Amino acid sequence: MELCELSAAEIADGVRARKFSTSEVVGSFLACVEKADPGLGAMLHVSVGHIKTQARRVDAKVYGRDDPGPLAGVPIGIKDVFATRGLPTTCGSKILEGWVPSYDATVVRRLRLAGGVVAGKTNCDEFAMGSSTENSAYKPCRNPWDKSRVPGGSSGGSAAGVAARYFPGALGTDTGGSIRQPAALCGVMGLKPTYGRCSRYGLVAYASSLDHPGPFARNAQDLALLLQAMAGYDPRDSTSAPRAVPGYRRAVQLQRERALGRGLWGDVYASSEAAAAGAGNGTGAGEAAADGAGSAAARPLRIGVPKEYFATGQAGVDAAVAAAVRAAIDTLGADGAEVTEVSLPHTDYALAVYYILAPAECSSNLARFDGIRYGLRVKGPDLLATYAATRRAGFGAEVRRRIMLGTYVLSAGYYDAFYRRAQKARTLIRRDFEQAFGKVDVLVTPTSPVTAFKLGERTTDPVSMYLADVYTMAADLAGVPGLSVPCGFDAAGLPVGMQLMGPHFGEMDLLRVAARYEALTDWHTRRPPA
Amino acid sequence: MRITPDEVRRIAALARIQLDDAEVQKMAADMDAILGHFETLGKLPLDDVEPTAQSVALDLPMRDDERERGLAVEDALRPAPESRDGHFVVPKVL
Repeated sequence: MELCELSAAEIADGVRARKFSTSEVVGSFLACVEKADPGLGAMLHVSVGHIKTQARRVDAKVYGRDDPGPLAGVPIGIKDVFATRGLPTTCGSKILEGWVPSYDATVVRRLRLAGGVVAGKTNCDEFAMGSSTENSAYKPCRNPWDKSRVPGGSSGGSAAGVAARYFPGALGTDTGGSIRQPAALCGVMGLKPTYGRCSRYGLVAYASSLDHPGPFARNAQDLALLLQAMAGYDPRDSTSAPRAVPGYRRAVQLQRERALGRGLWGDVYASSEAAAAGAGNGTGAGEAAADGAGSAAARPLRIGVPKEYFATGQAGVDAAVAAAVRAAIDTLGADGAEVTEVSLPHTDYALAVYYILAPAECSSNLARFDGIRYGLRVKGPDLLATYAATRRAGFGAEVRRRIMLGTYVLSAGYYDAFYRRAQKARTLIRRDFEQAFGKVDVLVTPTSPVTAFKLGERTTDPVSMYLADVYTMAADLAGVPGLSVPCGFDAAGLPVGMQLMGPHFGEMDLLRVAARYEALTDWHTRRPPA
Repeated sequence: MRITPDEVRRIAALARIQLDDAEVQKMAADMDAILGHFETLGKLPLDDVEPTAQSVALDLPMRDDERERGLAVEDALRPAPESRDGHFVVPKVL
């Protein structure tokens, strides 16, 4: 087995124990990419010099006296919307072709500080706008399970690279489903944390109130390792949460052995909350709390199944997807979780609310791409003409469409009818979740209504592409965390994802359910054909 | 059709995006189809509902009022399509 095919925990343990070096790990990654990526298209920028310099730095720590960190030597794919010092950052767009940032995004910097190695930049829909990675201005990315199909999007390259065993983990962003949906379509795990849990500093903004950075991995422990390194308050992002980070990794380890019905569910839940409310960075306190001393609040996990996410019909869930997710819920129920049906009555409005608010924020954020300070410039006779010509040449069709939609809904006469109404409807969607989480700990739904679709299948009708995210948009609007877990395959052998959603800052519970589910099943161990 | 080609031209001018005639026609059709999906919001009773701009209640802490090193001028100018004497160069405005 190639070193890059190991899990993040295995690589970090191996590097720290000097069983193999980081240089050997990244050598294995580079060989994998050279062999497989011409047929897959997951990577946009890989720099041999950049990666080898990082590897030498980690190895120097291993053989010196410094702690190399919990992610020592782990190669990590970074979606091309995060600024990476010394490595091109294009957002999959021609308008940023050739831009090499002079700084790292905070989450990237934290992964490097934890010993992680930036393996390269992964392919994505232009400015993270899309659900198939077909909107990349450079090349399409394919699904490792079937190369005629899309990997999902917009973080398609990150999901495909993790599925194809280039690296054990990757970074993505989720604004309407762009981590969870490609994770489901590629058969890997993807976590969209709570809004504010991870800093957005250095993430090229698409829709600021909806953008969530988060990790991909192939198992819950690696996901927890990555989140542990990324999460936490950042003075450079005033919307990041000044709130302690609990010990995700330890909780995941413990939960693998513990049934959902008999352990100390409520207890761990209560104590992780208590730890999170404490001062300081809280990592140590959270890890202690995860041991679950005492049993006052012991009770089984309560799972809610929102009926709106299983509706059939034109935009409804595919039968094979529904069957796989129902079977997964039965597995969790047989393990002792209490399963009840719940309702999120405003689910059907999420699509309209999302496609008003996200384009509105996008039209404002993308105004900065004007051909003056960075990226492409197409000269016109005057300043205005230069802006318009640059933006025409630099932006692809979907980005232009969203900028136009956003400009329209914010323009005089339409603001109240569209933007204001959507903001109010967002409140109702948020309240749906608040009410549901008064009764249950975790919601379980399909991540995507369908498995991976063919390249070109949805590109002519924008609305058909928007519907690919119909089960993931509400969590972004409400800011609640969501995690997609592999839970089966359809008749064509394409992976199905189950979505877990929790209350604000409930990542710990989602990771624990994922950890327990993977201990009961082996879907997450299946690998795509070579 | 709710969105006319003239409306598209007006919005494109506001958005600073140049579109040719064929692109205007296509954009009008696309925007019309998408806006059709927004009509569903008209049915919701929203008069007494507060709008949400941020999903998570935030404390929005202030940063410490201390000087720190920002982006160096040469780093800021390096990616610029055109710069001279420590400044960005723009087409003539006046």
